[in-house]
Amino acid sequence: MGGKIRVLIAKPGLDGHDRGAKVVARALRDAGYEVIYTGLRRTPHEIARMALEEDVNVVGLSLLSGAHNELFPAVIAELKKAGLNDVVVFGGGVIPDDDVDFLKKSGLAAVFTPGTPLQTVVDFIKNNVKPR
Amino acid sequence: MRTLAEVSRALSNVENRKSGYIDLLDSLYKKGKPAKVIGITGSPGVGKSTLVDSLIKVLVQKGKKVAVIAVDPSSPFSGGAILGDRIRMNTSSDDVFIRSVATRGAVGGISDAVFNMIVVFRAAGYEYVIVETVGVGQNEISISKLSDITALVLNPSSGDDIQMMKAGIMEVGDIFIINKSDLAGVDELEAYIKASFPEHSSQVLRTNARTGKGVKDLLALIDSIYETEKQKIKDKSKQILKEGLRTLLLHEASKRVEAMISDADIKLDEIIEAKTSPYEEMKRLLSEV
Repeated sequence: MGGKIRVLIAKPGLDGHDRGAKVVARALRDAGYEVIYTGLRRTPHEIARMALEEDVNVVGLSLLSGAHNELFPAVIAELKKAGLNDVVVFGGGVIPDDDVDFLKKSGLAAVFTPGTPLQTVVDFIKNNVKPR
Repeated sequence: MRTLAEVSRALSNVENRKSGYIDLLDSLYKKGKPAKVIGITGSPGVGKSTLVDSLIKVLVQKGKKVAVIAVDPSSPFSGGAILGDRIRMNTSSDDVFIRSVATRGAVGGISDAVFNMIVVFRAAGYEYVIVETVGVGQNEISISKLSDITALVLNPSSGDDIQMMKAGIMEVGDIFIINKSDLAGVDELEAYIKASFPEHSSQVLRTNARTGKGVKDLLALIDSIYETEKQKIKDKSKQILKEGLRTLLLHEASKRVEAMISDADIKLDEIIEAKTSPYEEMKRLLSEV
């Protein structure tokens, strides 16, 4: 029996808007993935700890506050500190196109900006993540 | 298993029945220390996760190591799941390990996985293992078969005395928790429970999981049951082991049946011609095992 792909959908920092995160979580559930949702206002350290405890293959970060250039790299750093080097990280939210390059250089495998079809997110996981 | 990452990966391997998982569990079981295994169950929305969070806080204050297995259902259509119990669990501590588990649909699947995951947590030194599941009906594998003590969480206005008489979920409780006890109808519910389960009348508690009210009493009650009812807990442990063994055997048996069906030289033509029957064939195959 092969392992299921497990995804942590996370809301870092001070941002109370999680409609988008929930819509993505639901689409991933419908695509057959096991999706763990962190709930709101988690620190990068908490997110890394959850990824560790849940042994997820993927972490999806959602942020609409504008602090992505600070918080996304901070989460990546915490994941590395926890030894989670094989976890694929993607991000989404209200992110200007100009910031995408920087975030990808920081270690995000993909950045989904407003208007991204849900299928694109599902396909990204399908094509980039293998069950363990 | 020295690091959290190793514990986490062991849990995955056990849940996925990755090759070698039986040997892994065998060595872990023999290293394991006793742990108190508490089941928390009840209908969606009664406050199970919030209550577990409160319980974690109290246990961490006492310096205990706590593991939580939070079970949510898998979709029977997509196989996916939303595991959302962590949303209410906010206690950050190195002594707490929370793992979300999807039911994954398989008959007995959750039972097998949870039993084995508890073995992993015991080997990792967790003193309390809290298993949270949504309430299930009488025919499902229920968490009460895998935990030493099962607490059923209810809310005021959960129903009248006829609900109490219905077979199933109410019968799994060793402890009855009336959560959201600030709401109206607490006295009535407590009276209903005590009238329906007189043998449990000392095990009815009121909590407010959000404020933490009553949660210390809950832990005190749990610990006192371990102290005063040693024989009952021991008998329960034996039942749990039997249940775990049963699911392990069933899983192995179904694997062998699959192999038998695909490998065996089944006399299909003769069955079609009614020279033999599926029933005779079953007996023949069984006799060859």
